[in-house]
Amino acid sequence: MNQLIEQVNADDMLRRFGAYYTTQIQIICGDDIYHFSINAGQVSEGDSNTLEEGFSLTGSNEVWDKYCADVPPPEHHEFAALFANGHISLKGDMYALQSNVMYVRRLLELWREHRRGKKRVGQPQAVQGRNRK
Amino acid sequence: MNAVFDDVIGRYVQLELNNETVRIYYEESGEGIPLLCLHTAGADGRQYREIIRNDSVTSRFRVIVPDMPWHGKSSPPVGWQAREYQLSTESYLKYILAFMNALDLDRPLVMGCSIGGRVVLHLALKHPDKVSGIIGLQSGLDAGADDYDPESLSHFNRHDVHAGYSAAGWMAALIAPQSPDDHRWETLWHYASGGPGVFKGDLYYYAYDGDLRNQALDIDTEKCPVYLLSGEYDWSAPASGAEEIAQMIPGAYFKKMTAMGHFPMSENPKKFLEYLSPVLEDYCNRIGA
Repeated sequence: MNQLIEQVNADDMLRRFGAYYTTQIQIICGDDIYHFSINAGQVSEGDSNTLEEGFSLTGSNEVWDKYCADVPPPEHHEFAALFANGHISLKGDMYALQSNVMYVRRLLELWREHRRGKKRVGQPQAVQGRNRK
Repeated sequence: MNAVFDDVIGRYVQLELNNETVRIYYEESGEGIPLLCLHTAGADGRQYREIIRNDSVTSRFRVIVPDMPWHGKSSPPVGWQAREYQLSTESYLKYILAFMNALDLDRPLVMGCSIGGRVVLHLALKHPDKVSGIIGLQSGLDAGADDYDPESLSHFNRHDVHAGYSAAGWMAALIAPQSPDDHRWETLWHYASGGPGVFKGDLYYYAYDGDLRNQALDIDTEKCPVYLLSGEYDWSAPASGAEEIAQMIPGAYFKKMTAMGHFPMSENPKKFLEYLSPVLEDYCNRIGA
């Protein structure tokens, strides 16, 4: 997660879209939780599994695997395609998403690149239980 | 540094629509059969930027690309600040016919994408004598009119959300992953630079008023060839919907475009031309051009 946070904070696109963005975003992938705490665009790892603000995006491992495929199939190639087609669910503050879709899209893209990289080097996949990543 | 000029020429024409004067911007290039190109909701004619300057098209066609009223460089009517824009089937057709009449376009071939892909069907159904053929890109009979809820689109027109960023963020999800990044971001820029409330206003036609499900698709393809091209990554107007339309119109042509999304002419023009070229060839053969 630390490496991912570093990548996120170094990303030009996120810096542009996130300069005024303060919220929390969780990506829930099977039993794994990726918790991003965003403060005026500066991202750190959230310190609990509970969201105090913002929203979570929840999907099965199978769905996120399709999103993370080198060539994702139709309806799975973008987070908004997953959401609009009911493959992932949103809990929390919809406005926090709608107010900065470009940011959320890019954050998910970086998370995808990170997850693809982990798969390529053969790191273990999700294990049982709620795992903060 | 060498400056490179396109052959494309831009002009304005003023039209009287609904007792109002609107100033329409359009571009054109090429000579031959008039090919009128209609852009998607919330965008403008820049979506056809590569088609209008492609020699294989402009050597046989006079390509004409207008920006709809309220879109691109076309002005909204006077008093826009105190009214909500809403596109209806009637107002959409009225604008297209007025534009065709102003430019004296005699039975053009009309190509449209998304809302344009729907309205070409309306054109062929209601005004078959005005067109010589239609090409529907990402056509669909409907877009969920039964569940239409304008409130669910509020993020495209509220003061505390940047409607341009919002539109671009959502439309990114309709572009195929294989499309080149430069064209992806150009396509999204068009959405990011739209006028406030315009995209939402167009969606009134797309998602509600332009519903064609209960209408017989009685189009004589001997007189008006119908071509339908749809990208496989478009979940808003899926290819299966266009295929269904083709099955309802005897003689209609349908092709699913692989590795393509909702904006074929803009997100991946080079690949789109591979699909468009045989269509234009067939059309020319059919009209004896």
